Amino acid sequence: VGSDVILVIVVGTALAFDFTNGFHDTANVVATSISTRAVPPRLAVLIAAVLNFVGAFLSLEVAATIAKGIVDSDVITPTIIFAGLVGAISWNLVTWYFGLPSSSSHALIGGVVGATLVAAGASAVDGEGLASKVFVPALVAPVLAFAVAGLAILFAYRTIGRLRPGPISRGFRVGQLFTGGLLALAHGTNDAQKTMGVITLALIANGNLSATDFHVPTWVVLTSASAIALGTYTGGWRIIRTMGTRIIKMDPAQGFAAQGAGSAVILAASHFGYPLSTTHVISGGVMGSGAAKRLSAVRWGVAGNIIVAWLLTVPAAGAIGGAVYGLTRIFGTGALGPLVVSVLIVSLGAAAFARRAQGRPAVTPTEA
Amino acid sequence: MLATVVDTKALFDVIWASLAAGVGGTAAFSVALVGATRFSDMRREGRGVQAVMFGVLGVVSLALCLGAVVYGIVIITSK
Repeated sequence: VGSDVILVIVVGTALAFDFTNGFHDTANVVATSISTRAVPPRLAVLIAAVLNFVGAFLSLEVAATIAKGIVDSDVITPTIIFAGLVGAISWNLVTWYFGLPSSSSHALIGGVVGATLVAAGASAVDGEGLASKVFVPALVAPVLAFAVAGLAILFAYRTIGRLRPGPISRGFRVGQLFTGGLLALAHGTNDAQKTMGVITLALIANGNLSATDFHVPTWVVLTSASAIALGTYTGGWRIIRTMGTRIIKMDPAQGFAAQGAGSAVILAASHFGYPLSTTHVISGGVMGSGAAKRLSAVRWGVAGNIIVAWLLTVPAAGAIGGAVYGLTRIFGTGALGPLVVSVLIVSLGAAAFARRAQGRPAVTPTEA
Repeated sequence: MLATVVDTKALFDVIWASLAAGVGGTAAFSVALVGATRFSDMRREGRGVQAVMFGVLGVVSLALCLGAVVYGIVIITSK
């Protein structure tokens, strides 16, 4: 019974992470389309939600098995996964509160690494794996997208020259429907799979699935796709504002170049099996398309805050993951620890929500 | 040490493919827009031959862009 309770908690936490992944990363897909008025905001997040849902079904190859090659898979337990997920969710919520786009995947890896460090010590973590799969790609992604978007917008401005701006802007807005759609599909395929991988691993660890006959159950695909789509539709408006208007003020050509460069980098990385974060790529693309027009067009203070958030993601999510694992162990190795932590987190969330609701001004009827 | 941490072959493959697709795709779409806009201008001015040439340029460039989008979807689905 105890292991089933932990399994239910891990599945619930994984779906909660998937939801935060959706609303946190909506900005990557829709921010540029919204800020250039290519699509109305609500419609943009609806399209992104649908395409994220569809994307989750396009590939069931669970390539993104969590922290593979970074932590020793023999020491991973459902409680470590739970603590890692809590670390990732917490960091996603902190960065969302400050409107900072950060990588949900890196937060999840950081959370699991932190929990593993506390549970099994430093020998269970592969430093080279962490460097090659997290730190180097984190450096490559924004720099490459910055360069591609910068060159792309220079080509675009040179090509369109002094043509009438009206039809050109309308054309780039239409083009953004396609580049934005590709981004949403790629995001759904990549990110929903992480949750599917986490839940499937927990099912195997609990003996509900055979490790030799690895397959993702249909209910796992459906719930993961639904959670990420629902999160996407909820829309992380704070991050959408940062990505869409606070880094640069975009024209439709820049929006197209940023999204086009983002799609190209993400799909090229996907094709050659190089792990790059969608968030880092799109942020780099937005900055590149602004800087190529004029260096001062980029608000470097905002860009600096985003980079600081990226640098802090793995250690911060790791610290929370490690602390949560330590807290669960106070209550032994059974289900009690994860249960107490879950109740604590839900209570804190409910209290924060109630406090926020109380702080809102009362709605008064409009005078006729 | 550096070789084990950085997968240089995959990295260079990603760099050239990103540059080709990202810059090429935006350039092709820009040419498609130029073709469409100039086609409309030329037709209004009654310059039929030039209008057809810009129309063909626009259609071919747009086809290239749509091909890139379809190839992108193939990459997503074939993972």
